[in-house]
Order: sequence, then C-alpha cells, then structure tokens
Amino acid sequence: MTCKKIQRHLSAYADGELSEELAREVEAHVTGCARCAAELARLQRVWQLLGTLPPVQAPPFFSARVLARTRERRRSTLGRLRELLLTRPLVPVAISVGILAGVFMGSWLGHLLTGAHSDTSETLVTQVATEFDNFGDLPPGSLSEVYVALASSNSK
Amino acid sequence: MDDAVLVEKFRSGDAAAYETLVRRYQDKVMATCVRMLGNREDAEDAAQEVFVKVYDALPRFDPRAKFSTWLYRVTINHCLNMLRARRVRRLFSLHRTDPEVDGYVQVVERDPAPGPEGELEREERGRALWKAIDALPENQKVATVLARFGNLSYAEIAEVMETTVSAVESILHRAKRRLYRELSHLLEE
Repeated sequence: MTCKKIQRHLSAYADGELSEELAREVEAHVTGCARCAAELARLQRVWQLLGTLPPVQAPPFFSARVLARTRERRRSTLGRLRELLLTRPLVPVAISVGILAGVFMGSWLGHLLTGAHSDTSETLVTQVATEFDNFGDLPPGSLSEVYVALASSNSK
Repeated sequence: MDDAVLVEKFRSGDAAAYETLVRRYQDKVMATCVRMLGNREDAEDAAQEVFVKVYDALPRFDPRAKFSTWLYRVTINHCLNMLRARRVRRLFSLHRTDPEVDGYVQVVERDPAPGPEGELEREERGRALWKAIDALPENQKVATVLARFGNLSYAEIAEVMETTVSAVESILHRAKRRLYRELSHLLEE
C-alpha cells in the first residue's frame, strides 16, 4: 500500500478502529516508513493532548432539576386545560358556538359567491369574445379561430 | 436494567424509569454539551432542555432504535441549534467580544490538587484546546467531541451523524490534522 493510502487509515489505526488485517498492514508500513510514522505520532499526540481536559460531570441535583422541569411542564399543560374547563365553563361553549358560526357563515358566503360567479361568467365570455374581435381575421383552422367561434356561440 | 426495558417501562407510565435514564446519561449529555458549547452555564441549560425534549419525544420513540444513539443525536442537534443562534446574535451584537464565550475558561475545571504546572497555565491550555475544537468545521467538531469525549466507536458516531463509517474515518483524520496545526505550539513545549 502507498503512503497516501496508509495515511488515510492512520487515525482509525490509532483509535483501534481498523480490521485486524488492515491494522497489520498499516503497522508493517509504519515500521518501515519514517514519514508515516511521524504522521501517526502527530495524530496520537494531539489526541492525547485533548485528553488532558478533565472529565465533566453533571452538577449536583441535576436530575432533580430536570424532573422538576418535566413536572412543571406536565402540570402547566394539564393545569391550563383543567382550569379552562372548571373555572371558565363558558369558554369551551363560546369556542364551540364560534366554530359553528364560522362554518355557517363560510357556507352562506360560499353559496353567495358561487351564485354571483355563475352570473358573471357569461358576461366575462362575451367580453373575451369582443376583445378577440379586435385582432381582425384569425388564420383559418387555427386554435384561436376555433376558440373564438366557440366563445361567440356560447355568448349567444 | 437495559435501556430498552426502561424506555418501554416509561412508555407504559412508569415515571421512575425516566429518572433512571436521566441519572444514567446525565454526565455523558453534560460532557457533550460542555465540549460543544464551551460554556458551563449554557451547557447545563442545554443538557436540561435535552432531557425535557427526550421526555416529550419518548412516547414516539422507535423501540427498534438504540436509545443512547438517539439521545446523542438529540443532544448534538440541540447544541448545533444553540451555536447557530449564538452566531446570529454575535452577528447583530454591537460588542466586539461575545460575553457567552468568555465562560469557556470554566471548561477546564480546577484541579483540587494543583500540580507544578500552575493554575493559570492550565487555564490557558484549556482555553487554547477549546478554541481549537470550536474552530473546527461543524462535522469535524461533532465527530471529535463524540470520539474523544464521548468515547463512541466510529460505527456509533456514524449512526449519530447519519453517515458511513468510512466518512467518519475521513472526518476524524482531517479533524486531527487540523487540530495538530492549531495546537502545535502546545505540543512542541
């Protein structure tokens, strides 16, 4: 294996992450190659240096604080719901009435607008047909000619 | 008791199982947050938020997945979000120095029995190490923290980072070379 290929595996070799076969290959190469041996030493030294940072531990009462936060969270969600139902019984009723009113209004407005749309659609077709008249003669057998013929017959 | 059993117990309503999981992983999550954020105060807050997120998400946790890998993923993602928010704040800040980062000295905890090196020198070294780790590109920083301080195998890191083992090998190799360049002044002493 060339130095370039070996160097790709040096970090994993130092961390004991290579297969036995590959590790043996790297080891044999490093024994006879000063450049790769120096690179391996550099990687190992910098990793050891990071290891001089002392281990970190969670502060005292950490788990108690986490549990308090989860309890608080559960209580606030459930509590808000219970408070709403028990202390203000009219609020859910008002919300339901609001939703029903919204549905009714939406349906009524939709009906109103659909009706208005069907009234205006014919006027629109007539307008479009008139606009097309301004172009003068259209090429015979073209799509535009067919469209204008159809639009004109519909508007009549 | 196995993690999977504890997760299942919690899902069936046993709150004590969650407490056992918190106690089991609190040091690992805290250590990951400290190394990622470089500030003990932010790290403690982040670690608490991670466990609250876990509490909320456990009912939807896929029981076929490994709990510890999932926990590390939640922790890393939370820290990355905090770092991104910190970068945005720094961008819009009028002050030249970021007060949050001043706390990184605390990363090196005081040795109860100081050696001949001296406390000041130890703090300086700790600051230099953290600065070098912090200056790494995001994926190199994550892989370094998980490998060096979390003692995760390459396969576990690949799972947390949702990549391949050979990608982790390459990321860590580049990270170590970069760290060597940044820290060579400390290694030559």
